[in-house]
This record gives sequence, structure tokens and C-alpha cells, in this order.
Amino acid sequence: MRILPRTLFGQILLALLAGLIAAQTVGFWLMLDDRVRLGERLRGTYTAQRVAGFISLVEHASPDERERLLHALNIPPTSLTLAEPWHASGGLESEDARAFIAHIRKELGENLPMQVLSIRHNSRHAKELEFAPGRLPPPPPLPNEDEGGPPPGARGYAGPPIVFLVGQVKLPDGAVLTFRHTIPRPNVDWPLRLGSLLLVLVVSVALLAGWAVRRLTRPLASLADAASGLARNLEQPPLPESGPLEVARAAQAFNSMQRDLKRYVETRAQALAAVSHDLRLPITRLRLRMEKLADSELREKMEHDLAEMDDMIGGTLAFLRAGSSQEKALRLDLNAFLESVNEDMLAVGARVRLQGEASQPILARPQALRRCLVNLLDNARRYGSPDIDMSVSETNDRLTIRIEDRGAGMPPAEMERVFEPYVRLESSRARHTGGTGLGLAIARAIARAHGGELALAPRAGGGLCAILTLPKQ
Amino acid sequence: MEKKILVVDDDPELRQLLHEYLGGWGYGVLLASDGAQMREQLERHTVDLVILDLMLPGEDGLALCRNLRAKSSLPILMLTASGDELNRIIGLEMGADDYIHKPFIPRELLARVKNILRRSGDSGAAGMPVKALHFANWILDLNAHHLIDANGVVVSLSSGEFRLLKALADHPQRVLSRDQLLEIFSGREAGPFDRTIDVMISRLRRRLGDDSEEPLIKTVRNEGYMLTANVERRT
Repeated sequence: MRILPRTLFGQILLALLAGLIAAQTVGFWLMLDDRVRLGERLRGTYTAQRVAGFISLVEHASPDERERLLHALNIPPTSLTLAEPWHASGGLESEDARAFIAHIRKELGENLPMQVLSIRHNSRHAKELEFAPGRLPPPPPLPNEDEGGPPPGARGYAGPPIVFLVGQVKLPDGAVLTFRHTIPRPNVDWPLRLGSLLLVLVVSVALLAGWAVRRLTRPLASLADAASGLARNLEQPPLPESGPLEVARAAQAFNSMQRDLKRYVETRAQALAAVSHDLRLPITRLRLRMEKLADSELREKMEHDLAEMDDMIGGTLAFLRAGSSQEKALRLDLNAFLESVNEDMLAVGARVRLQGEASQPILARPQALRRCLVNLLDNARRYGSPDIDMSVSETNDRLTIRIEDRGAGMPPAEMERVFEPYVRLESSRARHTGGTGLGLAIARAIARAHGGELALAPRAGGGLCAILTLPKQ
Repeated sequence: MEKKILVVDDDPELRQLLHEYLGGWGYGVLLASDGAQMREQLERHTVDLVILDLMLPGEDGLALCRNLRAKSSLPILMLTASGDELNRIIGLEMGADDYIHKPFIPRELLARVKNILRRSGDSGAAGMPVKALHFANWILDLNAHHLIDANGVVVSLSSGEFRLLKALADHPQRVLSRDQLLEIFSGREAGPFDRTIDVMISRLRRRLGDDSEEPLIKTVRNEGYMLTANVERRT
């Protein structure tokens, strides 16, 4: 199974949407992060002010008042004690710690010795502190060397961090005040309005992009259709030269190519037609001149040669005309048509056995279609056998006429080549039988002009089978 | 009396050859290379038949044919390029009595000439050619040689069937004997028609869907066949 769509439409739309969603996600995340940081900073400032206030209170209280004061001030999220000694191993050197100390000193307005022992994010104790208000948490163990980051046990919580802060300050009288402070979890209010706004944006951009991309790619699809149809039908209507500039230019180029091809084919056909046309006058004159000759073997042979030339000219012109449609298409009773053709073929010695029938009239040019069938039957009679089987079968939209003989057949490799004009197999025999090499070319051109197809196939049990398919109406 | 034929063709050699050929068969032959000369010849002589080339410089054969037909019922034989179906049909519509393809076989031309002259002698004036015979719900198209039914569907006929039906429709409500009908097939395109008239008739009846109580083609015992419907000839 492939994941990426194969169509240009799908790929462009996918790229657009993926880009859009990625940009929106990053933007959304950045914005949320900004809000969180702002919140943290505000809470950080608030913590420094609060701690500084406590320090100032304790500093200026008399030693006997201090115990009561501490008792009163021990309200979550802050706990204070004078019982712990100055931790000699030194405080944290992190930027956060220094910034915090600087902040408190600024609030106090004096330069007391101070150290931050621990800033722990998301610690278990902090959670206890947060979820058990009113109860004083046990003093956390003093930080070891390796304790600076989040504790290994902290997990299952993915929101913005809870910060647990432990610090000490030496008061001017030598007392050591140890404070623990929890910065509570910030309230992340997912901005619902903003989110839904972004969602609406994504959906509307997706719809708009889909429409625009579809508009871009549709002319390409019709260009592909036109290109694949061109080989069969040079007369197809030109493409609309609209749409985006590049696509319009491609359509223009295609249309002009079709015009050039058509002109080229027409020029060649006209030249061939002109030659064939002009040959008729000398042939007519020759025939009249021959009337002056006494009847003789020579005259008979000349007449035969002239008849052959006549056939070739007639065949060439018929071939050149076969694709064009001077004759009007009429609704044709195919059964009566085939029977009448077969009846006429009797006169030249072909016995055609017809099987099957068409259920409804088809739209066809009777004269052209007759020529097509006569050519096929004549081939079957000439190169195959006088007994010919013809069968008619139908599918939903196609009608198939098979013409089968019991002759020597044809090498499969030749079965396509013989449709080319003037191609004959075994020229010696062809000369003997007098074909022009145009019969099949004409027959196929007529079949295609009807929107059908003509092909040859070997017949089971020996012989050749011509398969003519025509569209049903 | 010697019949006069006017040959209108722009090729001088062909004109000369036709002059010799038709003259050799006892016709008086007049020549013209274009429309102006044709009118000149027609003013000077009484002509029985015009052989008119379709492709003429200046005024083409079709225009001349139409003009001629507008003024008189003079028989016209058109020379056309072989297989130009459209020109053939237009030519007949313009009022030509018959046509023959170039390059024609001289004896074929002679046969057509004789045929036209005999027909025009029979009826006095050729008039507009009949293009179709209408009978019952059917149209017999005399140009395309096929039948058209009431729904406009083409019902094809073999050449034998066409000739047989045309013979019957040319003489509606008259009994034609088997011998008379057989004569139709001894025409110029005589071929090995091994089917008897009776077989042909039964095929025709099938084509016409003719199995009712009152058949279109009626068998008259010991006499022959008859088309019972009225036939309307349309030009």
C-alpha cells in the first residue's frame, strides 16, 4: 500500500496541508510556551518578594519573637526554619540561583550572605506540598552533588514544572534562616478561542487550497486525455486555452501542435489525392485511344493493366477519404445490412454463413461500412477459403463482428503490419491475385472513423479471423 | 435521325477522343470547353444530350447543370471523379440524369448514353429524376439503394433485392410475372444469381416485416407478384 497519493492534486494538497498544520502547531506551541514563561517569571518575582519579605521580618525581629514569627509564617507554600546550620558545601552556581539571590538582595536592599541549595523541578515533595496544604512537609534532604535536575522518580506529569526551592540566608546576627518554597503549578488555561480560531483557519485554508489545486490540475488531466486521443483522432476539438498561465500555454502549444500535425497530414493527403486524381484523365484518354486498336491479346492486357491502375487510384482515394466523413451517419439495421452484404458476396463466389444478430440498430455510415466489410470478406475469399463464417456478438456497449476463413492464415508477426497502406504479403501471390494493398488499411480507417477497431487474430483450427468492433448506441 | 451530343470538358484531348469515339457510334458530337462555349453551342444547335464534366475551370459543372435544368429538360450525363460520393449525390440533386466516373470504360459510357437517350425518347422529357419511392411506411432510396423504415432506420438490400423491389414499386398494383422479374437480372451487371425469384421475394418480405393478412407483396397464383401499396414518387 502506498501512502503518498499519486495524483498531482493529492500531492500538492498534502504538501500544503502538512506545511500548514506544521506551521500552526509550532506557532501554537511557541505561543503557549511564551505564556507559560511569562507566568513563571511573574511567579518567580512574586516568590523573591515573598521570601525577601520573610527574611526582612525575621531579621528585624528579636530572637525570642523569631520562633513565634516563624511559626506564624510557616504557611504553604513557604516553610522557614532557623534550626538548620549553614550548609558549608556551597550553593548552586546556576544562573537561576544567582538570579534568584540577586533578586532577593535587591528586594532586601542589603547584601546578606545567601545560598540557594536546591532548585528542583517537579519534585515529589513539591507535589506533597501542593496537594496537602496546611501540612508542613518534612524538610527534604539536603542536596547532594548530583541533585540539581529533576529527580529520577518524577514522571507521569507532563505540564509546566512545579519548582521546589531551598535556600539559606545568614542574618547579620549570625542566625541561619533556611527557607523552602514551592512555586505552585501554573494554571495553563488552554486558549480555547484561539485554538478554535486556528482550527477554522486550517479547515478553510484546506478547502480553499483544495479548490485552487483542483482548478490547476484539471486542465492537466484534460491535456493528458487530449494527448492520448490525438493518435486516433486528429479532428478532436481543440483544448480550452484557459486556466493558469503555464497550463494555458501548454494547452496552446498542444493545440498548435495538433493544427500543425493536421496540416501536415492534410498536405500529404492532398498531394496523394491530387496525383491520383490527375492520373484519371490520362487513363480515360488511354482507354478511349485503345478503342481505336483492333481487338487483340495486347489490347486485352493493356485493358487489364489500366483496370489495375484504376483500382489502385480508387483504393488510394478511398483510403484517404476513409477517415473523413462525407457520408451521413444513419441508424442502420445491422442484421439486414450484413445479410445484404453477404448476399452480394455470393456474386463473387464467397459463401458467408452468418450467426448471431444485433439487438438494435447502430449509428453508421452504410456505404463506408459496406466497403469495410466487403474488403474483409474479399480478403477472406481471396486469401482464405470461399466458405466464410461471420458471427455477431454483443456486450453492453460494443458490438463485435468476426469474419473467419479456413485458409492458410497469416504469421502472427504480420498481423499488425498488413494494416499499413500498400503492404502486401508475398508480393508474387498478391500480384497474381491483384490486390492493391489498401483493403485492410481502408477497412481499419473506416472502423476507427466509426469509433470502432479492427484487428486480425489466428483462428483456432487454422485460418484467419478478422475482428471488427463497433460502438453500440 | 442522328442524335446530337454536346461534350463539355476542359481537356482538349479528351474532347477530341470523345468526339471520335461517339462519332464512330453514329452520334453527332459537338464540343465545348467551358460554360460560355456550351451556351453558344446550345443556341446554335438542337442537342439531345449533354455530357458535362464536373470539374470545369470558372463555372463548375454543378452550376452549369443547375442552370441548364432550370431552363430545359435536356438530358445531362455528369462526368465525376470516381468515388466522390458527395459530388455524385449533389450531381443527381442538381438534376443530372446519370453520372459516370472517370476513368470510365468507353463501352460503359456508350451504354449510359444509349440508356438516357432511350429514356428521354420514351417519356418525351426527362424531368427531374426520382430520388425516392414512398410506399406504406417505407421509403426506397434510389440513390443509396436501401430502404428506410418508419423510424428512420436504414434497412439494407442486396443489389438483387433492390432491383426486384424497384421493379415491383415501379409498377405498383400490377402483377409482374416471374419471367418479367427475371429479366431484371439479365441487365448489364448480370451475375450468377443462383437464387430463384421466389427465394428473393421471401427475403424481401422478411425485410419489409411483411407477414400480415394483407401482404405488401402479394403472390398471385400462377401469375407472379404484385406490390399492393400505393407508391409515391418523390424527386
